[in-house]
Amino acid sequence: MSDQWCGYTGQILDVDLTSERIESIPLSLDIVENYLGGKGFGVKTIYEQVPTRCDPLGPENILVFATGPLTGTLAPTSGRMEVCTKSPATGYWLDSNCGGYFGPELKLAGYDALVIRGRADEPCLLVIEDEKVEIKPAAEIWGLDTLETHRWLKKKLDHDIRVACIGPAGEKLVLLANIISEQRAFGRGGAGAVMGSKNLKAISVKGNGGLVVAHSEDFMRLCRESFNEIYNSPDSGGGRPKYGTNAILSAMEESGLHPVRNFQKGVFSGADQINEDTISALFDRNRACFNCPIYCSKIASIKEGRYKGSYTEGPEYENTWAFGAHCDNSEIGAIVQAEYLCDLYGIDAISCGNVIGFLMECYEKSLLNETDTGFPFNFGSDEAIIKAVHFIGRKEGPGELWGQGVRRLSQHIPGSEKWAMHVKGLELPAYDPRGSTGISLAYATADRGGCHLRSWPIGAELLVTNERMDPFSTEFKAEYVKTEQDLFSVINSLGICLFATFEINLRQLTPMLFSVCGVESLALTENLLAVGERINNLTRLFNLREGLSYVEDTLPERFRLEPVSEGPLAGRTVDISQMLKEYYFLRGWDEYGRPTPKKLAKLGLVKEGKDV
Amino acid sequence: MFKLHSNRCTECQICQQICSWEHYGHHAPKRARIRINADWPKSPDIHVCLACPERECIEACPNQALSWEGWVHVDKELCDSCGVCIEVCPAGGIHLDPKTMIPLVCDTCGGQYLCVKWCPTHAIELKGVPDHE
Repeated sequence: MSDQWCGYTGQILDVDLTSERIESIPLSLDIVENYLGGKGFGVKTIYEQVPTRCDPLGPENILVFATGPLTGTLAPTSGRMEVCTKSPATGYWLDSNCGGYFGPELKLAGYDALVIRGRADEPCLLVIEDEKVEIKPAAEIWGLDTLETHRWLKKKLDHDIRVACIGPAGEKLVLLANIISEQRAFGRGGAGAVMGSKNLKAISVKGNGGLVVAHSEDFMRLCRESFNEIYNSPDSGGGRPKYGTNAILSAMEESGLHPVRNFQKGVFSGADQINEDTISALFDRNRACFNCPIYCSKIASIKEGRYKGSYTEGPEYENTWAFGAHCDNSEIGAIVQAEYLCDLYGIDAISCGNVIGFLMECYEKSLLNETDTGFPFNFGSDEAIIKAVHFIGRKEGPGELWGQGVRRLSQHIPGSEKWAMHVKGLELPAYDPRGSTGISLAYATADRGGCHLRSWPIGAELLVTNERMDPFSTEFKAEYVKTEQDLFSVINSLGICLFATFEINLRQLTPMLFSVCGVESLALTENLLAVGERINNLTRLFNLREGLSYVEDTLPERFRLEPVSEGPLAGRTVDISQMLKEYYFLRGWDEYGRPTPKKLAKLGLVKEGKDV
Repeated sequence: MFKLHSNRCTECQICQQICSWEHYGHHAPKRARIRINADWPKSPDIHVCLACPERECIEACPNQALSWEGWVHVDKELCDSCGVCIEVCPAGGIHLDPKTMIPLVCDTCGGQYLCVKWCPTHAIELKGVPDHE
């Protein structure tokens, strides 16, 4: 069968670290037609194989690294892959998408996905080169940061390998820990702690094979057209290559959506020091993920001042905010240094910055004092930010508690729940929902918690020049969010980047996918969107099975009850109740947010629905 | 032949993709005749045959497998994969095909120079053509 696969390699590598059993399992056409790849493969595997309510840091939890049919091909931005697991930070579904080079390399080695289960007795490494797969001891590199780990492996094994590894934070099961691969991150939700709980320090992969496509001439033409569309776009061919993800920073600040002081207000006094122009002045060069013409990644370094010499790949928009406006810090050097440290320790910079801003508010409101924190923790203190990142990354002193995220942290600080800015336990990204009804609903309903990447109505509400939606109206937002969530699940299963899909959409991607894999049933856009819907219903079933209640489809109290204090959004709150009702209705879910038997039957999820 | 600007290279490897596609009709970036080597955070190195006038590789081949035909041609029958050409190339522009173990050297895609055409940042350009920027 595997000889006939196009786009797919046709094999899934399954590694049990407890028994050291290594198996290559053939891919089935049924799974491809119903779940596509990436996130789809992940949710199918995890729903079926992770025991209900298991300890996410126990050996029963599974890590699935899954590519999509376009990963590694000439399709623009084809460097993406997913890691899926049960999140130790939220206790619910987690998938985290990463660019870079690891996914394409895994496919060249002959695998569509890598499933890791069990727990090794001792720190170990997984070394993959084509059919040769070995579990090796990692005692020597346990404790190294992620950059040192990459360098050590490339020196010891082979310069051409690609690596995904955890840093000290993942080893110590910090709940904010991520997985770092070639300076890119499987960032959110604590996948690094799951990898650490399995005693797996790193995965190295080298693939010498090739990927064939079904209809080469069509594929080449569609690729060339898609590349051209990307180059001709003012975003992916203009702002994004020039400024990186910070291209939208001023637009967000001007519309009051850039949250300041832990979402207390929308006016940032440091906006003159921190904007896309001052940040792009730090860029030394551009970097791209595999096969990406957008190159939104930047190597930035600080040229003068106290942080002279600090550098990072970034700083990304979200992190610029998390360590900047969120903490009311206008010292750009500290943002660069904090992001660099997060990458080295292997912690999610969005959540880490969130925690620090949350602590600063606790300090401001006198719920914490210097004895609790060990040092002054005022808003705007860049020293406090850097110190806190070290404590969290090393799980030392107060950092042991801080690294558990704002939901758990607020339970330890009575009175602080009101400003614990998370949804379902995942800290929020850099858009104030009081300025966008769309992102409000997107946060409240995202399957992994407070996330802007399950649907991103910000573009349609505040950035596009044509047919812009009213950001304050609730009309059509449920339709928009529901459809976009389904679309994004398709994109995250295809193996390309959301940033490409702001220009190229299913009109190009459907024929492109067919030219790659030649699977007839995937040649229809409506079938692809049905795959997206199936995935989102299965993540919902997973969350319900893990104990999620519709009550958690909500926003933090601050957004509902506390008007923004100043800026363009002054006086605004947000109420999602009507949109949420419409959303459930459009999803075919009942009033308690449960998929109805009718919807499940339509999606072929009757068996799965019985668990809930 | 080529002018390289490694400071513009983003490490995206589209050149390797299109090169392997042109020669084998599928994606096999390790079989490309151009190679991007990266050592983060430094700029990547671009390795490709620059068609230098010295052509030490042709001189050095103990089996006379290499010849100049407007580009360096490798005779698969004569080559014994000894790797001497790889060692003497001052540009690091030759490497072994992991599948056939025959050296891979740029053949200009029959004059199409697809890597030049596809590079998003003009990190690889043709000599004699005005610089991008």
